[in-house]
Amino acid sequence: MQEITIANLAWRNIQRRPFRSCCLIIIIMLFSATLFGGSVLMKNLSLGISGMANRLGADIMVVPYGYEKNLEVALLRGEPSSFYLKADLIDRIKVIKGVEAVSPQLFIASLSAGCCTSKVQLIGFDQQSDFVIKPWLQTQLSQPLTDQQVVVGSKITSNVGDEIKFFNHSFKIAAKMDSTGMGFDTSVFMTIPAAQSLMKAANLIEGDTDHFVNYVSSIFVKVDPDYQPKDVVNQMMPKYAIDYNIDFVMTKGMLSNISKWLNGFSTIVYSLSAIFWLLAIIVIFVIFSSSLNERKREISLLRILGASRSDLVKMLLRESLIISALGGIVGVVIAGVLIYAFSLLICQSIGLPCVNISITDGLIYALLVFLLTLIIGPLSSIYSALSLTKFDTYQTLREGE
Amino acid sequence: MLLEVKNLRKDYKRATQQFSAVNNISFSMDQNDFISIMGKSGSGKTTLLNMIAGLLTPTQGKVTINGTNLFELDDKQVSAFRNQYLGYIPQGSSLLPNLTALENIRLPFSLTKRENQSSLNYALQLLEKAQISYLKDAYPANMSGGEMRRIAILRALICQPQLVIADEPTSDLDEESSAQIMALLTDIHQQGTALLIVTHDNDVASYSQRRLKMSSGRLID
Repeated sequence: MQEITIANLAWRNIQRRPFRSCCLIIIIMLFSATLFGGSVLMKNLSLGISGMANRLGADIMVVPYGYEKNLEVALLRGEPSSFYLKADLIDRIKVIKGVEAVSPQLFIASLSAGCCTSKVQLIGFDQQSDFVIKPWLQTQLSQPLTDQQVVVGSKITSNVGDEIKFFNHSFKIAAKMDSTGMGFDTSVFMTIPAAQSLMKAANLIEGDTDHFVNYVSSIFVKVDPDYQPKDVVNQMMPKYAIDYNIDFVMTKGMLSNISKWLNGFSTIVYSLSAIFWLLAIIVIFVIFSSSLNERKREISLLRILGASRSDLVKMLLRESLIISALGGIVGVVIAGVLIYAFSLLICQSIGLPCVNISITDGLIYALLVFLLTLIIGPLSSIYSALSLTKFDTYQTLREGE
Repeated sequence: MLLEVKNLRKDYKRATQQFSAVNNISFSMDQNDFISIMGKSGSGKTTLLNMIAGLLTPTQGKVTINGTNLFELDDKQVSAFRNQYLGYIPQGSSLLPNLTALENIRLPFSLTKRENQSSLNYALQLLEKAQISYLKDAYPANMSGGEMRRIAILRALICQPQLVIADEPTSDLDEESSAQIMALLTDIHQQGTALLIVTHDNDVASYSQRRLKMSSGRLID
């Protein structure tokens, strides 16, 4: 049978008041879950967007005027969209000073109807000039993609060799991409001619249907490192913006908007965590202080039996430490499970790309949150603990008679 | 000499007036003594007992147990000393409600570090000797006043102290329970443990070898 020590006496005291202990644990859990869950989610989002410029490979994206947002949502979350501009602009952009590479993409939104396997963003890309898609292929294509083949994003469930159907055309999956953390993960890539034939089949361009080959959705521009993307845009803008009715999406600008949003989100998360942290400290302080009288007798008795003041302070601090530790662990575990299960869904609903943090980083976050949680107990109970051991021991015991 | 109390005084302030709850008390006791201190309520008996146990610091004087002056020790040392050399039986109910009888008895044993020792067998022996083994798993809420007091006495013995101090050990108990408690205390004394009890009951005091009387903080003849 186990000895009754000051350490397990603290545990017995927690067990003795299950309702009070559970309430305290829940308050602390709210703090640790908010801080851990919020921090991990922010890190996931931050990782998702921080490397996006590199992942995208392009510094400027040219889109039809008014479709900047459509491109952003297509890139960020793969939300299917269709928009078009004249393809002859490609040759004009190529000759602009500071432009290193240019590659067009053709966007088609498939349908969740009988014609198509699922509703996804179909992207036609030019294999010769492409610098956006190829770097993400899991395995290099041994030969160029044919018009009957497609490359699928990492989150498309079909595998290499499977058949996939869009607008009643069957395609064979020739390759799969690595995870990009962007909308590309839920997109399907094909040759520009294949995409154009789908456009025809789907009647996506009205009027000038004989010349649909002259259209693309977006032109991705890579800028020479010696030039600033905004200088390149400044050259293009006066020449073509009106004639071609186009607008420019700067990768850095898009990311800075997202960063601003992320900063706002982090302010909310950290403010909420700070409120819960303070709330936990105040509640524990109030509860421990209000139970002073109730516990004076128990403390006096332990003094009489030979417990020193420091032993008793340790016992009381240990009680609050155990409560903090339990709240911290439960909060981190619950937040961890929820983030693991719903991270993708949360990111999709927010509309931003996410990349899961590494296990090591996750453990470091959990440890930091846990340490911050551990402080709550002792910080809020030190006053009660010290004042409980200062009274006239025996007088208190007799007063309780 | 086991215990020496020398010129012990404890002053308190009541409103603006200073008074001595214990006033210049001296006495001593040996290993085989059984002393009772008698006196009316407010005579200073409990204050004296608390100073002897090192729970209260005197205004003047000293208490020496086994040659150690308690008031030269710091809080940790005096707590360990009390735990090791003194068994204290407080007045009234003094068991922790969330511990069983056996756990209450064993509690003092763990308050000071002892290596490779267990109090379990000795606690069971004490329960058997006091013929209350049936109480070992009972919680205080399910015990009578007499049973609780006997458990408190056994708890005072768990560290095998040289001196047991009891404050009104039979207060609030019926005659039969009082007799059982005193029989248990007498037995403890006969086993070689010195006993110092505070009481206002003549019957209880009659069990002791020597009676000291207190009035207004002083020992009187």
